[in-house]
Amino acid sequence: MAKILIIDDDIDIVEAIGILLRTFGHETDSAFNKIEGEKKVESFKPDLIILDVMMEEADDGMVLARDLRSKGFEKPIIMLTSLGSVTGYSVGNEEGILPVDVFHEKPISPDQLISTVKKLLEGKK
Amino acid sequence: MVMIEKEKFSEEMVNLGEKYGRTRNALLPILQNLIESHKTLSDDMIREVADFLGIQPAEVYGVVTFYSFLNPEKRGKFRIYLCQTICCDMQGKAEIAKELEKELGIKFGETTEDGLFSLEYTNCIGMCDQGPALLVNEKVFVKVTPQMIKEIIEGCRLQKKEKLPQSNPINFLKILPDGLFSNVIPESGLKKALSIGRGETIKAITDSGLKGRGGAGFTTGVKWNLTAVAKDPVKFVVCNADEGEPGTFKDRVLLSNYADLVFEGMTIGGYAIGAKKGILYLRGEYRYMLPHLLSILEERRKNNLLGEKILNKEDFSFDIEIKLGSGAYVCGEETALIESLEGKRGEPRNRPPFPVNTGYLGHPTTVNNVETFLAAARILANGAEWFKKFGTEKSSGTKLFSISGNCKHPGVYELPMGIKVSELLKLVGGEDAKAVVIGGASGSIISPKDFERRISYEDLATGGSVMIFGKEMNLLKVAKNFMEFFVEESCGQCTPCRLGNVQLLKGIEMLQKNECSGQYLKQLLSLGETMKLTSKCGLGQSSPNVFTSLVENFPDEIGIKRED
Repeated sequence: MAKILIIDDDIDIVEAIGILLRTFGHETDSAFNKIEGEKKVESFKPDLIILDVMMEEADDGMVLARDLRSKGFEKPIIMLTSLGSVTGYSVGNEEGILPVDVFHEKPISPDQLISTVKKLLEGKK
Repeated sequence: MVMIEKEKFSEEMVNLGEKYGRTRNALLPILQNLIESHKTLSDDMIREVADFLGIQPAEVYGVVTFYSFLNPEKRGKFRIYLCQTICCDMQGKAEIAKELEKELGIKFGETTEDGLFSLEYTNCIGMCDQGPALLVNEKVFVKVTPQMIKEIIEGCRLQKKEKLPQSNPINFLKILPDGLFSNVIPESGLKKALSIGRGETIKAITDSGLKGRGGAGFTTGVKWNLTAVAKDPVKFVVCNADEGEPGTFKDRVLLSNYADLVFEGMTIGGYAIGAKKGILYLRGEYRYMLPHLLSILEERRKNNLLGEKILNKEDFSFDIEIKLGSGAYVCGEETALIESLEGKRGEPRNRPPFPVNTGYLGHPTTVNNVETFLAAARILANGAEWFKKFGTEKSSGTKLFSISGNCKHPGVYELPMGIKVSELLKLVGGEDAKAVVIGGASGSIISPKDFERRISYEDLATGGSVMIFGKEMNLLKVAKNFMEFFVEESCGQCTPCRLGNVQLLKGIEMLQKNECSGQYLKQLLSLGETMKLTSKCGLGQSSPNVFTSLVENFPDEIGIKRED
């Protein structure tokens, strides 16, 4: 089982995903903003990160993902966002400008999340 | 139209179509050309244009009547626009207006019988540090005197340029050592961006903490990031050079003296977000700069700084085009600007969707101010840490301030963000100020008790306009001038702004006549709050600021006490 860090400013999302992942035997930790997230990556050393986009700034998740990659973090990152449903924004990933493994619009079903986590931990996209 | 005229007109339309295309976004340049050559836009012409572009005549008419420089009424060969904004007013506008009327024998809003001259007032033309100023067609005259009026009119009558008085704008800029303009190595920012890649370029902008220099102060890195990540193969970079805020003229100086750096910043922006095209939206009042800017763009193309495979980067092509505004302050609002680029009335859009996802022609678009792009170029060249050396934690960098009004040394100053108002006043010789308006007509009017406050996004925010008013200045007159400006410039789309500004103007006039009760003043302040909360865009949300801050900070000036 894996160590999974959930970074999201919505406490309900953090709790719900945490409960789900722990039910499947994973160890979880959480952070509620970009700075806290950076620190937890250092201390918790996650095998996978579930990351929100809009936190204090509208692009905090994107900035954090890019920062982590430039510091050498190579583990999978799942980006979850409600950006599309709130603003109509659609995200692409041309030329690796957004260095995450999977980008998913909220809401995501528990089955879908667990299966995505499983695939990424097994090294599949 | 008679047959021969119609044929000639059709030929003219075909030529314009070849130059600008036959799509809706060609409407504004086509109309600008037509009014230039015909001095009017008749109903027949409007119908022909509509037919040519495949749109309804009502749509063309809507656009024509929206922009002040497209006024369809027949005008003179020489259209004289006298700036009526407060800074020019303080520098002798009334005397110039009188002289113009006397020399031409017409009133404002009229055209001479021989069809040679028409006389109009216009709002701020960005010459606040050297008023009174006027435009004759696109040519600017500054520090105009009654004697110059005679010479200008005589020169126009003789139709000889050499007979016109020489009165070009002076672009005074005081810079900081080690600031934005020090040790500039041409294209070093662009070269750096191309060497580190798109993601790291955006990261440099994000790390610098650069915020939009137009006044709204949105974080530039966020805009670039969201546009870069938006899903669309077609993206645009737009430079907002529509500085229409009364008291703001820094972009005039930047485009006159540092256009290369602005275009370099746009090119970096294009690379970072994945755009192939940039557009500079130049306010109609700055049309005189167009040949200069076009020649710089041409030079950049020759030097492989624009066009295909820029600086031999295989996968990077980018070019810049300039589009002219036609005299509408509201087009400085980014979604109104995009509407204008699309050949429509410059009416702000509902948000969301935001331009980063649904901007020009529906594609992801980054819209930034002239100074923002210039700063971006310098940040890439010198690094985010250099930029953060200046300013405060939340307002990093230096900022250009347009200083005008009652001070010894007006002009454009580069100063660190977070500077105290008192420090700035000392620097420009305005220590005796009774009041300072920070942020232009949409900003706040502050009294000496606030002069120790800092100019920054976390305290007194501004796009750069600082207007200084001395002891003799009647502040109700200032507020009236600003409110007349907003009544004229409101696009009329939303009710709070369209009607609210008119009521506030009436209220100021009542105060001037000493006819406003304390109870009514309270209602006006409440109306101001409603406008701030419910107007659709920044214009109506900020237009009550000067009125409400005047009542708050200068109770003696308004003559009555508010009833709390």
